[in-house]
Amino acid sequence: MSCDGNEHRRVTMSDVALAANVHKSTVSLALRNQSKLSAATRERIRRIAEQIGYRPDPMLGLFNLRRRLLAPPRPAGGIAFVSDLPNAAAFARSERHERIFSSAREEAKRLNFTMELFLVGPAQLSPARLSQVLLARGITGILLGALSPGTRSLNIDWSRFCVVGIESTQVEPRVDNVSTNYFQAARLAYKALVDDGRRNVGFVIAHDLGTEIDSQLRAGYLVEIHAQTPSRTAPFCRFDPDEGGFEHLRQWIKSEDFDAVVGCGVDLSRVSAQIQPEVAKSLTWASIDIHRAQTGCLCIPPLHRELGRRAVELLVTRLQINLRGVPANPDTTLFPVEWQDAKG
Amino acid sequence: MENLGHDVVRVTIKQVAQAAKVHYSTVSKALSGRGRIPAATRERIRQIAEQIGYQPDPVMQSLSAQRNPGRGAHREPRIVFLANRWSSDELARGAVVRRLADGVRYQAELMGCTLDLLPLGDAMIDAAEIERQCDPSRTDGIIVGAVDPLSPRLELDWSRYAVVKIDSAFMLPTSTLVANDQMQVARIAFQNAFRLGYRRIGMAVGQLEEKATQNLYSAGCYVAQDELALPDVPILYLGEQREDYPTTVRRVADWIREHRLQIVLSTWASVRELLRDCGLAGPDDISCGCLCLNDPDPALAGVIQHHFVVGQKAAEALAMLIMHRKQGLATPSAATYVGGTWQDGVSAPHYGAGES
Repeated sequence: MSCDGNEHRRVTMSDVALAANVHKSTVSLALRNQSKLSAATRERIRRIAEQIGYRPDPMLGLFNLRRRLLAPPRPAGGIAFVSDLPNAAAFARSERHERIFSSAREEAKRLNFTMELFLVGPAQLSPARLSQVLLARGITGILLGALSPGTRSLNIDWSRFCVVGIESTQVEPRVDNVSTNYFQAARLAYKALVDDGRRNVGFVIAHDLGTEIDSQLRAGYLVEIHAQTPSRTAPFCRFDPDEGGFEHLRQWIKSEDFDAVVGCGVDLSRVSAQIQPEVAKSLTWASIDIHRAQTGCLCIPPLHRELGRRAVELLVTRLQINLRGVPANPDTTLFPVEWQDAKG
Repeated sequence: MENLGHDVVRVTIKQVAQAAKVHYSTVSKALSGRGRIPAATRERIRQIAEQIGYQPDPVMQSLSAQRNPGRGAHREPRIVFLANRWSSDELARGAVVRRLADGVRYQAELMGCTLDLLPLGDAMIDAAEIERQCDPSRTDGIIVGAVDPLSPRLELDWSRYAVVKIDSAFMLPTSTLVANDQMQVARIAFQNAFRLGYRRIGMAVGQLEEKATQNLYSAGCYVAQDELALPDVPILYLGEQREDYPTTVRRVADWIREHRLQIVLSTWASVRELLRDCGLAGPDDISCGCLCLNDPDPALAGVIQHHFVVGQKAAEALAMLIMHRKQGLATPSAATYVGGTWQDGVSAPHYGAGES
């Protein structure tokens, strides 16, 4: 900032260039992690920039972003969308991943960033190899695209990247995440059914959602149950179709005398088809959908598109001010869901 | 997602120039008031600019203001922080609101915005004064800072600003929210009490806090009781119907006795004094932890809530809205939660350690 010559003069790229004994265009390339320079040079200049306290001017960053919104020149940078699904076909089959990815890519395009899908896993890239590839190609933005509950860490040097997670709060070290507000979803479903005259609402939760989503759903259900009937303990059932899930569910519905059942991440049409028709018919079925965009019954549809868009918006803001690494106090941004009647 | 931001194709001065059939530098002169051009031309261009919806870009204005100080009346984006119950007394005690304000200021400056604090609790402030201070022509964003359920209602034309609330989830307007994750706070408090060997764990929450967080404390308690398979100790709500203190003390003492509690987790910072007044003097009688510590305190175990970070994230969220020119209340409105950190302390030793 050139506004005053006294105490508050900003450290500029020219200062870094002087200290590193290179031209300032080299500094610019190094700080944008461009592969035109050797990795060693990039690293050396980055260290010097850090030592003498260089920070990109945030207002210039905003300015550049605004410019890109007006008249897209060449791409401003690349974003890697990282998934741990086993292969491209599995990715294409997953409605959840596909929708998150396509909305994220649209938003990236709007902000003039490019986005590419990278698959990590035993048969795919290892995380270490992925980070080599990204660094070599000058891609500094990473989105963790709804990683599986079992993926609890990735061997990546996070200090080199800007990273935002999408429903990947299980990954350590924790990064900032965007997620559906499953807590609010469970409360909303319960309240809607009770307002509609149901007295005894049960929750069926898919066994493979991961502890984070699972506990958010349970928390919402428990708060509502306690508000309604403080003395009641709250039953919920974990559903695993491969482990005698249908039989277990049948028993459970019979023993608890429900008049409504909310499925979370469970295909209810399959469930109700397996249950005696007169029992199934006497129940109101509702669904908090996590994987798919629609069902036939009362439903809280997922927010995949919002998640993708918001994650990119957040990531681009961070890229603008070159905010790399894992945050000391990670946060989670939750999106509220809406209740949808059967006709919707 | 904020539905206002998806058609952000801006009208530029080049489009105004095209419509007015002049060079864009003429438009610049006409609109900035700095160049020498005939008054009639200036007026004509101004009218055309208004018709086709040209608005100066606040980001570019602030940038040029930074780089060319003293040149014209450009300004940085301005944020107003509406703070709850502000007083010099609270400042001196290092109250929550100061930490929030410090975090907001730190991040706002980093992102090139100016910040003004407006204390709602001040007796001098009325609705008209708030409106005057938040004049939309010189205010881009508003942060509603941790206003509690007892505060007077805020009536502003929210559609004219970018808006972020801190905590205050319960109140109107519905907007982008940044808050402490009290569900996580309660949950990790239970998890750590469990780790320290406690099993009969009770949570005593201020009625106000419970309402202001829309039951997040309770949610954390229930989910922790469930996941740790703890006995179902009911939550005790403090300060119900503004009861007098002796009544509260009696209720707490009864609750502890009835459920044979080993530890009390509370949102009241004065939880130790409360237990002392119940006749339970220290870790030998009963342990305790505070759910809303501001700083590490070796004497008092509990969860530190990071208000400074919450302030920072609020300013970041607001700068993002301003940057993407999203005015008005976002629908659906996202909420960003920042977790707390557990801290061991003398008030909650390993369970049973004192008896040997």
